[in-house]
Amino acid sequence: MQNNLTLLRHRFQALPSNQQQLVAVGGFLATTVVAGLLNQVISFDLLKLIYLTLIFITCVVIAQWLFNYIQILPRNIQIVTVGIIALTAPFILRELEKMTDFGLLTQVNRALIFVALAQGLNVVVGFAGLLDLGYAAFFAIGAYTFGILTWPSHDIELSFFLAIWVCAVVASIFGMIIGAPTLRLRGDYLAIVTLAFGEIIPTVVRNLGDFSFAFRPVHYLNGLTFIFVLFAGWLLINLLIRVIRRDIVDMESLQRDRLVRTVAIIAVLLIASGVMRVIASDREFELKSWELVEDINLTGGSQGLTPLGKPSFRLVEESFGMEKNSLRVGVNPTFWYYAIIFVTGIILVAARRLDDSRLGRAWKAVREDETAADFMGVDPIRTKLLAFAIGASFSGLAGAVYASMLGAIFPELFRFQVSITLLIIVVLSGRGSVWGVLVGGLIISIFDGVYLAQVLPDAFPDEPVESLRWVFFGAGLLFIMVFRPQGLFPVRTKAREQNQGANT
Amino acid sequence: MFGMSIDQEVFVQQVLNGLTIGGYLALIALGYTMVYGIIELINFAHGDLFAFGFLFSLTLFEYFNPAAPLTGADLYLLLPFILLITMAVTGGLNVVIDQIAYRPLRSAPRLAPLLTAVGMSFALEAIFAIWKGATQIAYPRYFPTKDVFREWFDLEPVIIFFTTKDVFLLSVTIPLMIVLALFIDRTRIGKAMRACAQDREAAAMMGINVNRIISMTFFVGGALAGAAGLIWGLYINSGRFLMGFEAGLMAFTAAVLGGIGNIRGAVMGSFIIGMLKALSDGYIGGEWSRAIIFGILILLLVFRPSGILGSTQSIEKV
Repeated sequence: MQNNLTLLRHRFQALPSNQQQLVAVGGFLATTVVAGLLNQVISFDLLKLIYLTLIFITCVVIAQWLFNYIQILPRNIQIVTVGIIALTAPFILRELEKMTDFGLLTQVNRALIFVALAQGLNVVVGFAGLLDLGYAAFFAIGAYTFGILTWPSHDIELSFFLAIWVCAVVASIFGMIIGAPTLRLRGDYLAIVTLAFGEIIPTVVRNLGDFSFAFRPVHYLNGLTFIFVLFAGWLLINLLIRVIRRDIVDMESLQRDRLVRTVAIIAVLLIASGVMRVIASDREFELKSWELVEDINLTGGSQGLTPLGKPSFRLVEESFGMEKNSLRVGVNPTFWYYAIIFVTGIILVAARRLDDSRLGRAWKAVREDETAADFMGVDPIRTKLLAFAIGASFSGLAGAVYASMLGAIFPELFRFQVSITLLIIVVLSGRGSVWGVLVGGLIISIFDGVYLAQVLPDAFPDEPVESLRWVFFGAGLLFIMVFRPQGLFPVRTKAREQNQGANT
Repeated sequence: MFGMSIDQEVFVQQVLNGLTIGGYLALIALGYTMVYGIIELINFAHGDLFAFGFLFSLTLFEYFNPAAPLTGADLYLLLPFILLITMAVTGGLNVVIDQIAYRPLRSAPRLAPLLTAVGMSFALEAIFAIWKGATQIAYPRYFPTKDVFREWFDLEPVIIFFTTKDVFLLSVTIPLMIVLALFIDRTRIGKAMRACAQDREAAAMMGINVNRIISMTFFVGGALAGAAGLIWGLYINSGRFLMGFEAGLMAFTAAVLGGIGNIRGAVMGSFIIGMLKALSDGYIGGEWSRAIIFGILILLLVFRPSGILGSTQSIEKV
């Protein structure tokens, strides 16, 4: 049996790339059919399933063709094409929705959020080669930070546009905190530790519903405080890196002037923000003191937090003399589409720039051979920590936008399955490939949200087709790893290496 | 009883609970540790074999359909028979999983088989959900429940509740562990397993069929997990398709605590984790137990990845 499988694997890897992809997708989908047939309880309408499956395969092939075609085009035409597709998509999707009765635009929004999340995971898993099985933890931290900052009962109610950046910073700080102790670990142990963190965070969130806090700050954060938070976060990260790079025992050997400068900047910022708060303590930026609280419902427990802050444009409303809250956005999916495209776009550009940056090369060097990279002057600890921090900050940003879009968050949203979904997106699309993760993430999330969640139940209303989801995803991950480890849309150099059999 | 106060009895009860939790955890942890010892793979799908043992033994019971508390021949013949069949089939399933998901990747980088293991685990869970439904499944109360202290010894404890089910659990798990230890220490196959764990290439040069030994290891590990599934069914009387995930993580923590790759360490670690879980359930609150156990796992992996009994030399580059 082993020989047969190995033979099959070698024969498969000898095929040209596009045929490999077809076989992989076909095999992946055949699993569902087999799983459905094996199970007598479910009497599948086989023809219908095959028909829908074929449609899906066609979509994948078209996407792949487009992906390859766009890559050949000159750069400015690429940008224009992608831009036009991105800007007109909601109107096309709206029309399609009317034709098919499936919820498409909200699913595309969700898919774009997942693409942003997957880009963060791609930094950790794809660029730096650190297998993270608990990535949903950062998603949860981003979403819950947003929830805590904007939930009306907490009396903070930060503006959406500030809160999302705070969430990114908080998530990246948590990324460092979680990443720091795990850096000494080897691949599979690291995976288990991240998994454990991923399990702990929802548990803690669930149990922090009735937590007794002595004090809570009750002031409205203003713009300067926000800048202060950003800057202080950045300084803290820097300090943390510096402390971890040397041993903590070696604190004295830290460059004194840098430490002093850091402390001085923090002190100046503290004073400045205090002064600003006093100056700004008029009606708009009301300053309250710290207030004693007996019980604080920090995370809402298993019920979660709702409602959460939506983007509002108070300044625009005031300067144009419009009615208050007339621009406040509710649940309009077209608006959210543009908001998410904007955020995901920022993340995509950042990921793309990182890919070719000095840091990106350092990540890949550490991924390929940590010892060699260390000898070449790449600091592996700093490099890995930054991977965790940057990956987490993407996730924090996306998590905050997701929380605002849903308007409600609860611990169940951040289960282990979410981490694995994201991992599957990254592995199936091709680890380390920014555009691959974009295309793959869109296909997989839309496949999940439209095909599995809407088309299949519509075709078989009486069957528990929802359960098939993980047969698909689990088997897909398995087959990809055995037969096409570089993924469906790999980085070109990686694909070349794989086809030559130079890399394993 | 014995002049104990209520508080003391509560404590004794938690310790007894810890023993029983440790018992079934040990059976799962042994599978993790054996597979890790021989091919250095965290068999992520191992916990799901435990769930498979639960579901499969339930199917067997439903097929034979004995009267609900087993008596006479049912208890002394049918139950051991079902236990053996469950162990054999679960072990076989583990061998098949190895053939499909891990063997093609034997020479690939270490993370590749871990990813296929995750995929396997999720596929298995989904298949279980389709097979038996995604809801909580009731396992009939087949094993006769009698209170040991009250009915056998005529003692009158206030809190302590230790039944024949607990006795059954310990009287199956502990002999199984002893048999396994003897199997590995005394038989030729056991010796071959130890040789493969030390150095696969050298073992192959000495004429050991390494692939067969790896399959054997998967079989034994799977069989133990299957037994744990059946015992859980008889003991807890309910389960879910996802039960393998959590039990698997706890068992993995136990295996790491004892020193992964070390058989005795896995058993010891399981009883420690079982105790910790029981005590934290009793004194801190069940909702925190998960966080506590995973916290221990993180601290262990970060500060002493070799565990209690593992040697520090054997784990390189951590």
